[in-house]
Amino acid sequence: MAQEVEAKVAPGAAFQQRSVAVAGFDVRYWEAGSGEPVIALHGAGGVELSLAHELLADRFRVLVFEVPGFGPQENTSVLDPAGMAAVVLGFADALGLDRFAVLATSMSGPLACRLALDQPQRVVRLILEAPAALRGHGARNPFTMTPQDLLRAFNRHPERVAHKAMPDPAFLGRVAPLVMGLVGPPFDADLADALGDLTVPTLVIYGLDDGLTPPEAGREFRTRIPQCTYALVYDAAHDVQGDRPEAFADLVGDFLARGQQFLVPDADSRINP
Amino acid sequence: MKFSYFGAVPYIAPEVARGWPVAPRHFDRSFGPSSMEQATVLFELAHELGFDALTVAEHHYATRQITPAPIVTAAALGMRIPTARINVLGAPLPLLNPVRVAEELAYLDNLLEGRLDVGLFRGSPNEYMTYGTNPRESKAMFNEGVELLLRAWAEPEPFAWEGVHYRFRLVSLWPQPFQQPRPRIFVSASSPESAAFAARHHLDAAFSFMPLSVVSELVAIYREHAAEAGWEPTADNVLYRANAYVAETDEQAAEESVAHSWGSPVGIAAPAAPRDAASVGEVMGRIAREGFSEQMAAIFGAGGPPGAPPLPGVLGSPATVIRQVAAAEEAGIGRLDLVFNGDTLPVELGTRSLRLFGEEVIPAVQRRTSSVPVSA
Repeated sequence: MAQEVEAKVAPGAAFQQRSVAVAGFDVRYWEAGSGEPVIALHGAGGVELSLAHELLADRFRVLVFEVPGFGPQENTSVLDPAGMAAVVLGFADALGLDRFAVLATSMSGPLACRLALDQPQRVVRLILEAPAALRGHGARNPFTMTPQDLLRAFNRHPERVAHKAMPDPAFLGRVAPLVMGLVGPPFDADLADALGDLTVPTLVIYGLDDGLTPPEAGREFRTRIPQCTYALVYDAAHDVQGDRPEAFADLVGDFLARGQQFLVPDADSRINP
Repeated sequence: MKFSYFGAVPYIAPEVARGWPVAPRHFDRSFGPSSMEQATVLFELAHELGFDALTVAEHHYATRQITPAPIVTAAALGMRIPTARINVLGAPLPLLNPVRVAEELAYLDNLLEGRLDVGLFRGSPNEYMTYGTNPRESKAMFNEGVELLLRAWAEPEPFAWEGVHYRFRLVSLWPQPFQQPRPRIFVSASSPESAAFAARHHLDAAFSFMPLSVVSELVAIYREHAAEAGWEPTADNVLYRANAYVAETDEQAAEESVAHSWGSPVGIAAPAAPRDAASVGEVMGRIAREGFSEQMAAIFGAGGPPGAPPLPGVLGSPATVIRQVAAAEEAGIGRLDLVFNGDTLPVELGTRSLRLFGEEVIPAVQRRTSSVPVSA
């Protein structure tokens, strides 16, 4: 299993694999770049270093955190968003990160929301890629889909993620309880209410052709979170990073650097002086 | 069958420079307002004659159709004729800001209280020179622009759009369209690929100036893809645009239409002067070939000399034209969008042709249609 995870992350050549002891776990993480720290939290497929990560690492210190239980080590104790948010906070503490941005993909959306709600002074930006949180009852359950359906739901451009292995059924079976615990219910009313008080500037991103979490769920975040941009990425499905890595890195990078100021460009648009 | 009157709004003056582009120095402002008024009078006549809708289109830089901003034309027309349905057919999306187009059309739809049908097209090859649009990118820009416009018309929350060709960090349209869920949108279905695109997005299909046999094949493809997408278009979802010229007899119609180069693509496809033929003409040809097809390149390639053969259309005596309408119906067409006037045709001839169509053809087609038992 560990070997398979290794194979998956092979494209992230710039990233160094490291580990740190947090809350009884030997947490693995992949790091590249320098500058403001960004903790990236993966989806239900485990750590998948993308071209988007590489591009972001050109501008930021990117730390790709592996949720305990997805690597070689077992995790049967921390299976809920709030508990896992505490582990991520412990990870930041262990690395001496005072303030950091959180970039959460799909499954990690709920725990990232909890982390931002609990630590608004430390989480400087919250970025949610096709979050499982508030996904609504229209969302599909990946555990009941055929491999072909899954592929369509995840990627408009499978050729751009050719390096990714198809999910191994044995792996999926092993992480299923953890995934179910972390994604939570289709609509967590308590979380939805709490987001009304979230002070962290937030960017929620969906691929227009997302076959798993309907992009329309982004409205839930936009109506609740005071500083929230709800972004639709054209020509992308659930795996926005995989389908449109450059667009994803551009959008996220600009938001990381400039927050809500990213609503207007600051690049020079003169053709010639 | 529904009929719409396509009003070209030609520049009408004693001396009219032709071709594309036409140098602005030829514009005599004393004929600007009068050209618009003459076009409006014809729109009024068509409405009185029983046409179901009035069509305006977008064209640039020439005397043939002085409607660079057809939404402005449509707004004025809609106010002048308060019971007319207006077609904006259409906005050449790759030339324009899709969000702006969505806003203007939404305003127009409210202004007209829903008397609006819309077309979104790629623009004719020469017009890519208008604002400098890369023809090789135009199809991708069009496809993305359509999805952006649809989203802007449907999205209840402000959103950001991260596209391949478009980036908008904040889209939040006011007003939203009056018609719900949205105004009818026609897109060109003139290739199997574009027919599939139209069907997949539940859009209406438009064809122009092509043989009915080809339209019929494309309508079948459109229907197949619609079935896959879970819906069933009817003839009402299919529009065909053609030039029309009606006279008392077939011979007279043929003679007069040829004498006045009726239906010639000059003014859309032809450059203004031999000097331009060597520059603009070659550019048009390349745009048509690379961005569209060899057939388009054949029309636009050499710039189409002033006697180029008329494009397929509706031509003849009322009896002949009634048969042509029936043939269009058989091809799966439910809406005929007909061009009756232009810069080469004397206004009185175009008006006579329009009257004949309205007085002889429309009533006959309506009688025939109403005599067919209507099934539930």
